Amino acid sequence: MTAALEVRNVSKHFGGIQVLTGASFEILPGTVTALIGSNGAGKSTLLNIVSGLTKPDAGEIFLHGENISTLPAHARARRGLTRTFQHVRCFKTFSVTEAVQFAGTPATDGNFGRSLLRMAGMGHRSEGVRVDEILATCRLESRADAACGSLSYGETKLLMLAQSLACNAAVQCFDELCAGLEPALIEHVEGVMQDLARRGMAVLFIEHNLQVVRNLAQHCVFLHQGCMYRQGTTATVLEDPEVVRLYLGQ
Amino acid sequence: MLLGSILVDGLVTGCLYALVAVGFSLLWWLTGIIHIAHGAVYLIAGYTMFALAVSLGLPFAVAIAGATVVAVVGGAAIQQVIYRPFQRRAATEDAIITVSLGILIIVQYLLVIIFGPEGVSIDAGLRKPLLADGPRVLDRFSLIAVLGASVAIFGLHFLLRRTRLGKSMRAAAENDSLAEVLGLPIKRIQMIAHALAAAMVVPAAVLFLCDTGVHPPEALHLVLMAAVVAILGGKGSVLGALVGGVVVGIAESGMVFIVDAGWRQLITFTLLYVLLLLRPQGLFGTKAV
Amino acid sequence: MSIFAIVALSLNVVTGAAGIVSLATGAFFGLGAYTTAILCKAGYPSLAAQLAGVTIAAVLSIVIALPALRVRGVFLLLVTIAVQIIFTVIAQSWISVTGGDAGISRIPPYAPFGVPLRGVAFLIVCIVEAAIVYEFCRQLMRSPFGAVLRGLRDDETGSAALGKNVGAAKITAFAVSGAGAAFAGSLYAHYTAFVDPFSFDLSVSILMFLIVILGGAGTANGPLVGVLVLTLLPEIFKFLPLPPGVAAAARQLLYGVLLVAVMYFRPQGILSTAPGARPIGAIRT
Repeated sequence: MTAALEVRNVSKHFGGIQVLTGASFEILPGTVTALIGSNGAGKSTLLNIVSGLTKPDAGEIFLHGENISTLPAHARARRGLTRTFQHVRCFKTFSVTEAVQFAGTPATDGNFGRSLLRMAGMGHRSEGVRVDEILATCRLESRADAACGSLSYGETKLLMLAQSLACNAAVQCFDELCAGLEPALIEHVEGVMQDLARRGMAVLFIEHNLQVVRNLAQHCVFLHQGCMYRQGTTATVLEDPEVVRLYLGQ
Repeated sequence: MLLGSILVDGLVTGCLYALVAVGFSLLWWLTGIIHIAHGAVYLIAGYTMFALAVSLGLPFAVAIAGATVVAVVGGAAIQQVIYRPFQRRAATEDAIITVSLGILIIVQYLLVIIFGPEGVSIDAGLRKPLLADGPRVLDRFSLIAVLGASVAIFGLHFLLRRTRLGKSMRAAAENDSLAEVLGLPIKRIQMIAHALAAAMVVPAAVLFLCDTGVHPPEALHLVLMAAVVAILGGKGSVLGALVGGVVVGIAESGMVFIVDAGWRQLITFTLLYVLLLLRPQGLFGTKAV
Repeated sequence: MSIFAIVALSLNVVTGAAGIVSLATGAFFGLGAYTTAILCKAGYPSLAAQLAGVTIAAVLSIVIALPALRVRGVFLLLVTIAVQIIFTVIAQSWISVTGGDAGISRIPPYAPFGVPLRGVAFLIVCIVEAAIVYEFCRQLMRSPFGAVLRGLRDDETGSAALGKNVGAAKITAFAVSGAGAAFAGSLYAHYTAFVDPFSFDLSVSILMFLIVILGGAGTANGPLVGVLVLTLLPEIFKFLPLPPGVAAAARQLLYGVLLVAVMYFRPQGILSTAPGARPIGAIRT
């Protein structure tokens, strides 16, 4: 089976610091993979490189076997690779419904030419994403008309999840989505992600909460100081003595 | 000798630009504010100097001191009365720039309404050449301009590098929330920076006054040149402002011999455009945009 | 007034919707005006001249748009200012084409399809054209493209991560803005029958910007309110006994005061329903 996402030999340095060295791994469709490691290990940088926001010094990214290394971020998202952000960002002037709608509208619709055609009454209406369903899945129905700027921290995280679902990419990445959420919500989010995998999407997430990692991820990649220290099934990695020593502690 | 004339003329103009730019650059670096109203401080300094030296007939030194006081008070007032409320509200960058522009426009046109559009100037006889047979550009004005600017700028540089105040400023510039947590009086530091910037612009105003004069409509253009110099020299780099100013001054001066006066501005701003396109961090700055 | 409305509405697309402050509006306004002046005096029909101006403006707006892809905030503002000043200098210095400071005078009236329009007829046509532009801009901002512009104002990186081509959107926004200003410019040239560099300089750009933010950047009706207020308010000066030079300066002074006042009291503009203190542009980077 072709890997949904393959990262090959990615290296990156910032100033004098080598943040990533020869990072390589792949994730298969229908699986959930966790990317773990201490702060500063390079996880977010790796995600930025995968999603196209940062250029690596070396290495390549493959999406379903296609080399997307030279594509800008939005092009990668269009091909089915989306990610959420660790630091909460928000579309302040949008309502929750509009934000999800925005995420779900096919990118080509946002094209100026297409919009002109639509305004003239021509051009077909592409099937809108089912916003209500997604909001319900993410437990945001009660906030459907709220302005994004007025959401609580947890609700904003759920919104990011909703937007990811709306994009419906084949590979969805989440950067510490569960951080700061209450336990009941975390459980719910786990369920949503498992559902994604069941439907054939590939999920990659960065997480410090090891309970979530154990519950959710079949595979695990442990980064330490920019190197792929260990990869494998979650059980193997989390019981590895080196991982325990360097990251988990006793 | 033509080349010499260009170089000296450019050097002199450059030093004047540098004096205006260094305050602008400093404030941009420290507070993140694009202080378009710096032009207003320049106008206030120039007109005060004129009022004190000519209308009241006070001796030069006293007038300069007076102008400095007024300018510093003006600069500090802008920070306290205008910028502070916006900073407290966490206003956007665009909002503060707009307000700053508004202040410049207000001061500019108030001066025009009260004093008329021609601007003011003083004929202090500084433009007489030092050597009877020597080049015309080598006059007392040039000497004062270059020496004065160098002293002021190197002094400021020394202040920022060696003194405790300077170190506090650098800490505040790098990360003001962290610095505040560590106990630095951010508000006071910013106020001092505004005062310094205003003080730096006074010699430029006085010199312009004695040369071509201080004209309200030119204030915005002068601030734009300061911005160009600040970007060229790197945000916050005092010496960079001096180098940048001289480069721009000489370039402008040299342009006279290549194109008509009217086209000069075209080249300056085309260069600005290219600079922003290719290297917004300037010659000395770090890539932090 | 309707002419300025057209300019304001198109600027709103870039500044209001996309959140990019541009002070080059005067340049594009002037570009349309000068193109019309030069071509119509050479005998070309009005509509052709207007179209030529609009096309040139749209193409040249790429000049601003390209840096817009790489720089943001203040640097982009400086780029627009640079473009504006470059235009003014060219208008002043390229005397053989533009007539320099003296400008071009005795421009023939607007004559779509060969029918010269003067007075009331011209006014009606202007109003109709303004209405068309208004409707176009309103629909545009509600379209998916408009959503992309709002997205890039609020969170450019986030929008890109969701698949929106923010670069293309920025370029298009500038093109629309420039084209709209040029369109209005050609009407202005016919209206005043005279163009000179000073009618299209930086202060005009600043005025346009003020109009947009006063009424509410990003709203559909904002620019209209802005134009209304800023055309009527200076009329007050006619009732005050002011020496001639002072009136012009007083008007500019008023603009300065308004710039500060709007930002202080109601940065989102008169009509905007957005929460306060978020006039334009995204969070400070």
